[in-house]
Amino acid sequence: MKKNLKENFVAYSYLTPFLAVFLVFLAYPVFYSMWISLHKATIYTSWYSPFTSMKYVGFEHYINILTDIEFWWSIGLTFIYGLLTIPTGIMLSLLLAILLNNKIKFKSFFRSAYFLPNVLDLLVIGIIWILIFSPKYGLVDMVLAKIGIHNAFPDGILGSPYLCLPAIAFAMVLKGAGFGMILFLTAIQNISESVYEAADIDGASWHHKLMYITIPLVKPIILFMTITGTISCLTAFTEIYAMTSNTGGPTVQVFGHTLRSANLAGYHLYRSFSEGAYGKAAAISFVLLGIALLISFINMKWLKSDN
Amino acid sequence: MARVTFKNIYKTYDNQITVIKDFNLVIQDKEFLVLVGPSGCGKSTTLRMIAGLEEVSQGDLFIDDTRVNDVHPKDRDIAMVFQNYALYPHMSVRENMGFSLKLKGVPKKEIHTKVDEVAKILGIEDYLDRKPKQLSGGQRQRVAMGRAIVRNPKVFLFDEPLSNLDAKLRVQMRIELAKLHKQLNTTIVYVTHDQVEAMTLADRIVVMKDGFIQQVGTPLELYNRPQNAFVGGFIGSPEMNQIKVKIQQQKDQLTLLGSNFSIPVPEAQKQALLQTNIGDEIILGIRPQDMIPQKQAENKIAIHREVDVIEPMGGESYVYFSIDEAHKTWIARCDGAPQVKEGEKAAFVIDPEKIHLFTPDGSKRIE
Repeated sequence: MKKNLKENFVAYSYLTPFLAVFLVFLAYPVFYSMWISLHKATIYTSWYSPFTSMKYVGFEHYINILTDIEFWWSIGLTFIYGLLTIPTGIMLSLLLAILLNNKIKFKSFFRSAYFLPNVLDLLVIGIIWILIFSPKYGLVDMVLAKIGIHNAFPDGILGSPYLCLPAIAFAMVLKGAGFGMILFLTAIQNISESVYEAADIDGASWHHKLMYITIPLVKPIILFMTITGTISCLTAFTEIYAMTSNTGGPTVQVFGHTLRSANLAGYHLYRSFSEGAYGKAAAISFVLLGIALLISFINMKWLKSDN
Repeated sequence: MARVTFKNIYKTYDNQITVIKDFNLVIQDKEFLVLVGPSGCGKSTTLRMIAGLEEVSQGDLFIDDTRVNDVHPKDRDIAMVFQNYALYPHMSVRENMGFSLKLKGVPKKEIHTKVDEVAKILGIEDYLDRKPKQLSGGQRQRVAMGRAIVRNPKVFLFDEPLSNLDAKLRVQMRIELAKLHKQLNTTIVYVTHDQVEAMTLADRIVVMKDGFIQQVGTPLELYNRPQNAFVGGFIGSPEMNQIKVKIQQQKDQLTLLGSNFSIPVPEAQKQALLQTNIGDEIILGIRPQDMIPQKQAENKIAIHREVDVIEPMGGESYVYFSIDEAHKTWIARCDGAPQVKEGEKAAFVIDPEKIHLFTPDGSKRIE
């Protein structure tokens, strides 16, 4: 009994530093944002007495956002953004990994080059892409002009309500492909060479080997990238902030409502916070959490790996 | 019909290292041929060249009358069992076994029937829905064999298939393999470094070293008449005792002179030895079972040495002793209850008719 107590004490004393950080910086904010989501909090709320000066409103914020067209618009855009980025990101990463798993010259250089964008800050990448996509003097317009297509995007690609989001998605896919490539490379290199040799003898072409061996054996990575990709889409903010100059993209008219064409859920959440609607913003964050959990659960069921 | 022919085959890797040199061999239809040799001798490379997993650098490789140097593995009509089984980890046993047929476009029902048939032969019908990781080593090995059998290929290739199994299972699988060969009645090329496997399974054995064929023959040919000192040492367990001896002539009698023993040369080898220079050193080889350790050797040819260690194995015992001052250890094999004791002097009685003699560099048998 005494020994148990001593052992427990030692264990808890080792855990204390982490628990302290966890409680202050993670558990408390989560609990507090849940509290805010059930209360009315504005910029006039006294933050010195955070639990007493707010008025309890129950699920009012949740009901409001679920009937808010801007919220559903942001969810719809996020869904489209996810469809644009996640499958293409996975396919591009897998393609790069397969290509760079071959015996080619300068393999290490290519691996490093593709991975490099990951270490850059999203803001920096956003600014680089603004330059690439900008009208007249942007790289895309200049290349198009060279092949005889002049002034293809008078407002710039990011100024077009229909191209803004796909352009951001394109930039993000290229940025993330290097990281995905590393994950896929690791998984592919873990597949025994003799399995491919056995497949060769069994009569498999490269296409068969890809479909029946490589892809099934890298399914855990596909699952991981789908889940992290979903979470990234739901929390996408910096890229939108940087590439739309904090506007949420060009406006578009939808059923008489003026909406922003790149107003993704994460950015919408940020806007709500910056407008002082803390309760609403907190409620949005919990709805997004619910959506993330639901999608992750479906993904895990769907891609459930036997390995 | 499935005959495999090697004509002046060489294999050189990108780093200019040649691992197979002037390899010539005909593997007959329905033959169980074992390639055996120490690690790095090129036996696996040879097998992989038949499979098409390694390119032939020079020479011609035929399966039957077709030159297959540039033929893709899938078109060679061969099946291979790998050392690490190489099963598809995400597929069930049934899917593993039926994969090649599925790729060929064989109807599902037919694949099902064929897999069931083969599973029954191998006794794995209860595991068909399991994944490889849910199987033991022996079961995995059976699945790997099943995958090969299902294809009904011209040639079966086995790359050290039993080396990952424990000793007991290895013996059991060895017997099953021998039975399987009789049942399938097809050509099998089998690679191993274990000479016991080679001796027990093979119709013919190819002993390899440093990329060269050392000797080709039936297990007993190799055992009884090794063509060089390497084959003599490699085939047989415990290995053949070897030492350099001088040839001495006294009148008509030729004697082999060691540091502390002498053995008269039998008539059969006299003529051959007379052609070598008297006084030269040659290699003498004696198999452990051809030396009987006794307390005394009355009027018998024997080597008198002190017993270092006795290893009782149950049915037999190995008696170790130092043959010379350099403490080169020799082994004598006797029945379960040796007459001699550790630390005591013993007479290791030799039958001169059973000695093996090799040229000084060990490259040729003298007879």
